[in-house]
Amino acid sequence: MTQASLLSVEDLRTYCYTRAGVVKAVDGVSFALERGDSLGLVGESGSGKSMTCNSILRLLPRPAARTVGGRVLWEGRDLLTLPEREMRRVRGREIGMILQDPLMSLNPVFTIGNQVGEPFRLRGAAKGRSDLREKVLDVLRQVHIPSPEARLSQYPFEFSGGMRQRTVAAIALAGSPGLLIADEPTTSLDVTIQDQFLRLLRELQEKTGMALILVTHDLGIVAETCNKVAVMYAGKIVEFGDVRQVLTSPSHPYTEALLKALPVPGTRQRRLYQIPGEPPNLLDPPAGCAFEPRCHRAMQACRNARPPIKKLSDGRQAACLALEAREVR
Amino acid sequence: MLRYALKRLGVGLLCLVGVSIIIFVAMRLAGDPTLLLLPDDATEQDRIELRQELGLDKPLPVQYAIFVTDAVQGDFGTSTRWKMPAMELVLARLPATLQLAGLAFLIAITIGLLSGVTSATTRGSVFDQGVRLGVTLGLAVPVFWVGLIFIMVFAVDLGWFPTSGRGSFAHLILPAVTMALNPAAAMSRLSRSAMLGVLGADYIKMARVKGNSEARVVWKHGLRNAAIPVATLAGIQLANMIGNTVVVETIFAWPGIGKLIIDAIFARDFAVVQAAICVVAAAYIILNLAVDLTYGLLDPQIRYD
Amino acid sequence: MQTRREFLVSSALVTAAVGLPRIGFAQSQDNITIAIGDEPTTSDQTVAWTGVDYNTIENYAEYLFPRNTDGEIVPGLAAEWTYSEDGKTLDVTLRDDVVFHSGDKFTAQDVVFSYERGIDKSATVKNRLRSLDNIEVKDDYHLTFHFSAPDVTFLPNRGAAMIASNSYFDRVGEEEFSRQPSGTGPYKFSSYAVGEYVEVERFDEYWGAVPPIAKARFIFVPEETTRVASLQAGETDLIMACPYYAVKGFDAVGDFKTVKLPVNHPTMSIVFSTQNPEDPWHDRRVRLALAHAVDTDAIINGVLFGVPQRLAFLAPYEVGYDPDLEPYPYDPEKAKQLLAEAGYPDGFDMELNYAITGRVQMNPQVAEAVAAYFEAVGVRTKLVGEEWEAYRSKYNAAKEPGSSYVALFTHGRAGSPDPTYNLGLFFRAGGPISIYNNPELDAINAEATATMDEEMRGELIKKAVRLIHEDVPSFPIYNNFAVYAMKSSVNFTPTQGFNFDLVLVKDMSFA
Repeated sequence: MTQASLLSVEDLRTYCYTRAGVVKAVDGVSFALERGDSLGLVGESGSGKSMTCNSILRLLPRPAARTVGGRVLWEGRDLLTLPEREMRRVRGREIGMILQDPLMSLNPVFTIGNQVGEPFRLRGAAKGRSDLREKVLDVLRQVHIPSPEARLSQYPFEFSGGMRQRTVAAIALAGSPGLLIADEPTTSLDVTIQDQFLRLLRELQEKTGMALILVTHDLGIVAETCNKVAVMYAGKIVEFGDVRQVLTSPSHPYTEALLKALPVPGTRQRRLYQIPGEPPNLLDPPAGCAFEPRCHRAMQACRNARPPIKKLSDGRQAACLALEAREVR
Repeated sequence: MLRYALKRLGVGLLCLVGVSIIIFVAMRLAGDPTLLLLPDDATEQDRIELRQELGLDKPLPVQYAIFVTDAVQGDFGTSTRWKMPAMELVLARLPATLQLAGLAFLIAITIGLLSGVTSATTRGSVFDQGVRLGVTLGLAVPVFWVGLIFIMVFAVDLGWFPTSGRGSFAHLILPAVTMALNPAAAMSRLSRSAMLGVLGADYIKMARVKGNSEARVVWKHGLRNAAIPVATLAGIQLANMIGNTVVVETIFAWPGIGKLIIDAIFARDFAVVQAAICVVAAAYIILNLAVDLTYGLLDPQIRYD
Repeated sequence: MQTRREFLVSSALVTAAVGLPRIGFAQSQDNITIAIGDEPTTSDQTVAWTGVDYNTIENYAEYLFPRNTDGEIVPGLAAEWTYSEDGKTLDVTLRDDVVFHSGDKFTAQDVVFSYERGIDKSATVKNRLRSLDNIEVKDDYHLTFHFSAPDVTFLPNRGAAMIASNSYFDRVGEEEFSRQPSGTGPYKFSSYAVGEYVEVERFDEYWGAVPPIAKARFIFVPEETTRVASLQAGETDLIMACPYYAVKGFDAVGDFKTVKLPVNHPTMSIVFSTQNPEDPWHDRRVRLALAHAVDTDAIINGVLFGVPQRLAFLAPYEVGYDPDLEPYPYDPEKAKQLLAEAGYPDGFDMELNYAITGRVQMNPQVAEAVAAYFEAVGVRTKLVGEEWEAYRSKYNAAKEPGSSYVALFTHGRAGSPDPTYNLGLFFRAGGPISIYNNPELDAINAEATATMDEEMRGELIKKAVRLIHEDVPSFPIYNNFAVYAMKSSVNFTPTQGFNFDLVLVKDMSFA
């Protein structure tokens, strides 16, 4: 990387302290993001995707979870070392987040107008009530909410699911962030609404130039919306690279398996492919490659040490010893 | 909203009638007031005459009918114990109880909410454990004992407050705090659990994501939601307090309606008991209505039912 | 080392600094704050009928024949009086220099008015004047009472009716007369805050000795512990009905003292109903056995903190007092022997009734102690405690033939206006508080009641008392004492009266 990236996560480690022991939820994650990028962060439940995002914004449930190592460089500053007061200024204004369940993301007792206006009020962006009102209406229009004037005094329970999620997006937008983290934003939406919403996100990105991290377990969404993808497994990134490249010719066996598991439209399949085995117990991770027990390319060496993430010839990164072996060959 | 309030008032009125009947019958079943209204050396003839004078020799329904006709015009009879119009006596003593219950309620809700919410946000800390211990004690200690201990320690030994009676604001403090302990404990416990429930919600996370300080997250975003169940409990407790001031009023010689009712019951003073119970019942009903309306203010979903 | 007095003073200063003195009534040498138990039922002296009324009223209203602190009837509103030979006529000469607080002059007309109104409005006055036929007014300052039968209790009752002003009543009407009463006493009624206090002020035109203290406030503090606390905290100068348990504490500290008044009534007794021949206590020996079974001295010292006393029947100052009459000695062996003789060698089961509420202190504890003594001689006792009205109703029902009843009761022996009064009330068949039936006793008492001559009456009374002592329809546990506690700077001489322990401010002063 010649110039500083917008966001550069270096060897991020976040551990969870439970009664049963220490869970290495994020175990050495590194990636970089440029302005305007949209990164798809994929993986199974428990792979560490949400934890990574929470770690970036330092919204971990203390004292249960803590970031214990690494750096998160945002526009050159290490977020992990910022005092809380300044971190608060980063949140909402420079980096925003939207969550999975739109109903629960909105406070049931405050009006839409109030909630969408809050980011403006927090950064002192509005000069007076009518200015604030204008800004709120503007941002509601940007997310294509119809008749926004009427919405201002309404409450979340009066909205449909799709409208609520747009409202959440409006709230995020109101902060004018340079990066938006969307943690499974479409999982609880209808399929048709999902599509609309993703298109909205793309539109907003184009308009404002903000970067996007899209956390999902759905490779189809990643294919449509993102330009980069990071595949996570057991708290680590196993493959990283351009979306088209990774999805058409995956390097890591896990990525291969994921793609294989996708049902192919137009064909009749007797049985969907299932990745054999189970995800590892993060309380007691294996010394070697975490995917090794389930990997069809597993070698003896895989059990001994964690494969480091290596840059491949085409700019992608992957952490797989078998891959190296292939490349070498 | 108006229709709702009116409907509740109507139900309340029915309740009032029901209560008055129950009290009416119960008092007359409880015993002969002439034993208490005449000196020890009175004869049986004296008692018979007095019963006639008080109208107690008529059949019960007739007595009730007379009571209702008079009551509707504002005449609740004359107190046999205090020799003045019963309702006048009750209304004269009501403000003292309202004052006491009111301050006790304010103290209870303030301490309850503050300690409960802070307990929730500092879960597991020494403060949290201290509050939970306090809650257990507050729920367990008998009011009578606490009141007397307060008098002994704060009034006699330390001399910070007067021992009893009503006069300045300082007279109000010990009795109000004594009354507030139990409800404060209950509200603290409820606030804590309500807050814990709320703090796990996504909108709380979103509030943090927006960049709110932790204090604003808790006290602005969280409290409004946690307050809803607490408001219901608070309303019930305030109404209860009005009825439960007896012990505190006796210990602290506070001239309120609770002590009046007990004295009237012991003296079989029907007129005063009836008048007082009607007033207390009415207060209870009005307060319940106020709680329902407050509930609507806090929770927008209720308003639109 | 800081004395308690310094501590109290500094507490008072802190208290004052926080702005606490009771509103409008600064504590000083001229004003006294007194804590009484319950508030009066009325302020009107002609309506007053029960104990709580007299605490306040007797400060501003008077009877014709007052009693001094030694307990003697002395001249007052009635300057002179003479009984006729047969005791049915009483000529009275009134003082001519008395003025009511309202300014009206006191004349015989006021006496007639007060008596008529008292009989009409107060059941207590009515009861006491049953033998009064009429009052004949001779002139403004001379009148004669005519009785249908000689009444030995009339003078000891001080004339029974308190005096109010007829002209005042005519002038202001019923309501104002009741709310703003006017009397002839050394203090005048000042104000009444319902549920809180009554205030009285010195009356400088009083016909008698003008008392030292200028103003008094009686505050109502029903909870005895709080009363004690108020004295300890310095908020009150004197409290009445000081609970027995606090006496030692107050006496031990130099800043306070207690004054005990042997009121002697009621006599807390174990009372038997003898209506049911099936009851073991129908047999006189059983009753006597139980009388011997109880160690009343131990109860007085152990449960009642050594404050009251037990009399055999009458107090030494009463007519007919018998110095040779011994109370039943504590003798459990004799008790068991008597029980065996009566046919209960293994004892029997019984219920002992007592009142949980009411103004007698330590009732449950005394009942438990008595039950324990009964158990010790083999009488298995179940305690039945009830609220006062229910308990009293049960007592009344014990007159009925066939009823089985034993109770710890507020009975009457000593401390009445005249012993014949209590004998009639508590022992006469059909007496209002009697569940006993003894024709021989009734005959003697009837005769005594009609005997004006004290010595002769005294002999008859002795006979009657002996009868009761032999028959044991009840036996005494202890006689009531009134205890007043006060700051040591207060001097107070209580009046030896009967029934009602009075708090007369005229007998109080600051040292």
